[in-house]
Amino acid sequence: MIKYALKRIALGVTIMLGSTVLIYALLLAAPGGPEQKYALNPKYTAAQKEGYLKSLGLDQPVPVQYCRWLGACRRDAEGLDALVGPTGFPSFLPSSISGVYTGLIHGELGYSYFNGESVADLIATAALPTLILAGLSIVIWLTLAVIVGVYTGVKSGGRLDNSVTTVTYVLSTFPTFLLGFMLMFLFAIVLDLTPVDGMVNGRESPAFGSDLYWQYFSSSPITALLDLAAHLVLPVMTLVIVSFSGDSRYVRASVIDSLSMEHVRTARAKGLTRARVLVRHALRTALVPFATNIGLALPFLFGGALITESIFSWPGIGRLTLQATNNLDYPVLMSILLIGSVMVVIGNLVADLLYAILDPRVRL
Amino acid sequence: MSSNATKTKPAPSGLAPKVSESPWAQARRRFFAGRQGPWGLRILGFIVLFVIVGPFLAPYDRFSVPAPSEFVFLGRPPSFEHIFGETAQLQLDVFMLTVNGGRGSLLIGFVSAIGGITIGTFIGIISGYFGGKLDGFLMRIVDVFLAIPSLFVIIVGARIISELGGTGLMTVIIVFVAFGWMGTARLVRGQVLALREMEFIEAARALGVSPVRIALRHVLPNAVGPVVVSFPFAVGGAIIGEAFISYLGFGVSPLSPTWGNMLSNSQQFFLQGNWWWVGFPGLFIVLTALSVNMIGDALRESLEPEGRRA
Repeated sequence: MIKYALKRIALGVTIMLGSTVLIYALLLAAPGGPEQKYALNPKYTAAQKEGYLKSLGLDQPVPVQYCRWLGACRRDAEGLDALVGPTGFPSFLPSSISGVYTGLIHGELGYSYFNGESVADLIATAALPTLILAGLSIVIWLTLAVIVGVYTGVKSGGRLDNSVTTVTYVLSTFPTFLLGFMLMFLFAIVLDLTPVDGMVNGRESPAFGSDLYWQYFSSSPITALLDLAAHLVLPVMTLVIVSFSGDSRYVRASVIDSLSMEHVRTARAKGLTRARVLVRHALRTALVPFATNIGLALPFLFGGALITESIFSWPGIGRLTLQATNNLDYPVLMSILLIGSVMVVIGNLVADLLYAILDPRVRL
Repeated sequence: MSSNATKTKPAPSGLAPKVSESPWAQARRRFFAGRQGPWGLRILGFIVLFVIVGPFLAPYDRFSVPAPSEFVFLGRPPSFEHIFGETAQLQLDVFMLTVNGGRGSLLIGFVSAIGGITIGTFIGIISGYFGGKLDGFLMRIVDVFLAIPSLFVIIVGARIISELGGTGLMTVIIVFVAFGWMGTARLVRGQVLALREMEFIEAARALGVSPVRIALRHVLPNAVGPVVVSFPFAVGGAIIGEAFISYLGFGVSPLSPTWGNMLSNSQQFFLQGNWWWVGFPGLFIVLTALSVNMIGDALRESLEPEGRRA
């Protein structure tokens, strides 16, 4: 088990390194970049340009730039010396050992080309709204998927199952934004029950995440929470509806599979009650693969709500990504893509390990 | 297992065909015996026909902007002259936009799916058949591509290509192919790994057949089943994906209409009651996605009858 886990972690690190190369290459191929900012300025001399590029380290060859960005090279040294930190240990080791503080692996994500803000701050500000939205949606949709999936699986072939299965089939092909439009139109415009978009009521509350907001929040927490809840209804509903239908079909299929397994038949033959057969014997086998899916939900917490955030103007990671893409703000984009892929790798790792723990047949 | 599997009448065992059938013929028979597959084909066929014939039916040019007699900010609902209504602002005919948009969307769907699957199959066969270090290397590349969140990287990729001067459908297709081959590569590799050890491949090898010929003539046809199953899903995925990135503003420019970019322009007017501008392209996207998924599910059930899943 431990050997397997270590092997998987080593593989994960390799994949991460690979994805840094891919992300770097992708954005290297991209046009624009910092020197474009002054490209049309007639007073901007070649010497100034050279100095500017040098100050950003862009005069170095690409592999050196990559190495510095990653943090495996020091920025204040040239050649092979850069690989060794001031303390004499290799630069890629943690800052406290190597004495190197720059670069990705030492937690330095850089600064936005667009407005000069720290990328780490930008992402931290945007992460909370996304976490609230995606986290709440995941909890609701997984619960709903298990309930609906188990119910329709047990009653498979019945009238209710047929109609529910048809509805979830259609819903699972529904584009998110179409559903979002429809819900927005119905609930916010026609019925006027919920706010149209945004995260807080702009007339009464400061922007979410600002210092003023937290002051407002602590002065009248109930109003603030109710306001937040009202704004959450539509985006959460959209995410839950589009996402739960696929999962509930999955649960339904595995419940049907497990109900026809030998050990369930044995349990029935022993004369156990239906509920006991279902809960103790059938569901245990049926829900194992589904439980491992929870690991795969981790990347969703970071960036799964891109479309939904865009429909409902939710100030999260999705909106940050779109802004950064529009402005070709590479440091922000690179960090978002990278954090996203760290989440995917960790999520897959968690899913694999959970599977190994939950399923006794998997011997490692 | 989908609902229709339980609804489908089981083939009466006494009526097994007298003549022996090839596996493909069996699969075809099972496909057409169900309800899902034929209905999916009918819906998709209707949509394809509609999109091909549609532009000849309506007397409007898709770029002609009629001079409105009065300034109308909102669009007009469906009428006899404009059966799908008119858009806001430019007052374009929604029917014309929908059929032309369908051409764009279906083209993107099919070309991206074919491109991605071709590359994926090629890499999967190389990886699985030749194995060893090459296999390890290629599969790590697949892992890396799969690790980066797809929608994010597709948007960034589309933005970069459009900044480099690409516009129109090709941008989207390139991005979808570049980030859409990994699943197929894994799938085919798995199939090939299993097939490689089989006796008929060994026999071919013993006869001195060249590795390339073995890969193409003996391995490929036997590995193709799951690829066929994944094709409709890939088409549907690309059509919806195009709608997503066009909605976010990084897809096809409105000069070449697709269902996706129609939807991206219409959200605010939808909220003011112009349901037809969103409704018709939306309906066609949902119908297309639904029909290709039905075809895919039916193919899976007819090609992998024992519930065997790759």
